[in-house]
Amino acid sequence: MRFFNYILFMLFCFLAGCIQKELTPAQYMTWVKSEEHGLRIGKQIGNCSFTLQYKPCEYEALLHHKNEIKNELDLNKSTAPLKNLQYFTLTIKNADGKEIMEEGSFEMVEYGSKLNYMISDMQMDFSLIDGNDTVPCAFYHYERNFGVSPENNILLGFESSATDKNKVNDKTLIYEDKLLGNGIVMLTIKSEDIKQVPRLKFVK
Amino acid sequence: MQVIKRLFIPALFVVAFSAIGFSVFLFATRPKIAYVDLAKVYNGFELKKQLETQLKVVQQVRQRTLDSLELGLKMISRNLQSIDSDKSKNEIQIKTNEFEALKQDYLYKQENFSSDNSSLLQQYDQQVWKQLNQYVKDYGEANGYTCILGGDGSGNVMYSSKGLDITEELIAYTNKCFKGETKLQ
Repeated sequence: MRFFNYILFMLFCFLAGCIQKELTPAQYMTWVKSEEHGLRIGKQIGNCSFTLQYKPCEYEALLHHKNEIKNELDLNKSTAPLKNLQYFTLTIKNADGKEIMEEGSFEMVEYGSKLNYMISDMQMDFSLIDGNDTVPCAFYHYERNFGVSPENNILLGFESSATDKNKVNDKTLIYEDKLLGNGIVMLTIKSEDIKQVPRLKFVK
Repeated sequence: MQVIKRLFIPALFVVAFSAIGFSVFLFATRPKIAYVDLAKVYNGFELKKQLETQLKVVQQVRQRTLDSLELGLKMISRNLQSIDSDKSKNEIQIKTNEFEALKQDYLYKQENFSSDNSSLLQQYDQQVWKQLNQYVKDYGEANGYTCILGGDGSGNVMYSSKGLDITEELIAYTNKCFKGETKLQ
């Protein structure tokens, strides 16, 4: 009997572990942004820090239509057009708090050409390893902040892996840095962290 | 006499505990030093391997351009040798001019490619060392090292016991960092 209870307890623990967490939209946003859960990773190279935030479709939808999403139906409507891409935000920050275009720029011409690179050409230097596929960057936007913040945010979108759309793989962002002389910069979001993303629940 | 006898054992305990405490303190605060084989770490670093492949591709493309120019020069030279010098002086002149122009182009490109190759190699080298230095620093801080010495066979580290060699661990750590698999600190 005692053995039977032990088995039941173990089964209960296993099932409890398998059940996906449910969070309210506000809790969900905080959960995704938290560094503990592996969807926000980073590294330091010299004076420069790179932080990569993986953004699930639900997070992206909430970010743009927070007040309009009241239930599951609204959420499905908002996420439907976002589903074909995988979204990331890369933040590049200088230790001295300068805009990254200012680093090593002594003339306005140099600053201007770096700005031009960041506005458009930088897109070509991003790719994503998703499982066995290397996907080029399909969506790119540099959020210019005119020196107000030392954080330079770059919004990125990559098409989902063509081989198996339902399989969740490790996602490695590759940036071939031509701006700060760091060479190839890689950041990996683990598949087990993506699988842990909680479901959204809506309070009626 | 009895007081001394009564105090002897507690005093012995105090001295023993103090000695143990002092030893633990010395052990905990001792400088933690290790050494690495720099050449092995450098050659085992993933970024170095990737940039080396990129450099080889660039060098091969440049070499192919030079090879085709060289082939063109050889063909013109052969043509020049086969032309009958008495019959067509004008043709010889044209071919000689063509040869000279191609030769200038070849020499110009050879010089440019050679300097570009060496500056690209230097640029890649800087990128590798920039990342490698950062990851070694991160490894040292994460594992509480006071000092990590780099031996490159030139006499910086003349001898070290095997226990202090962390080359393999460092290669694994730097490659993990390069792939961005470490969490935010």
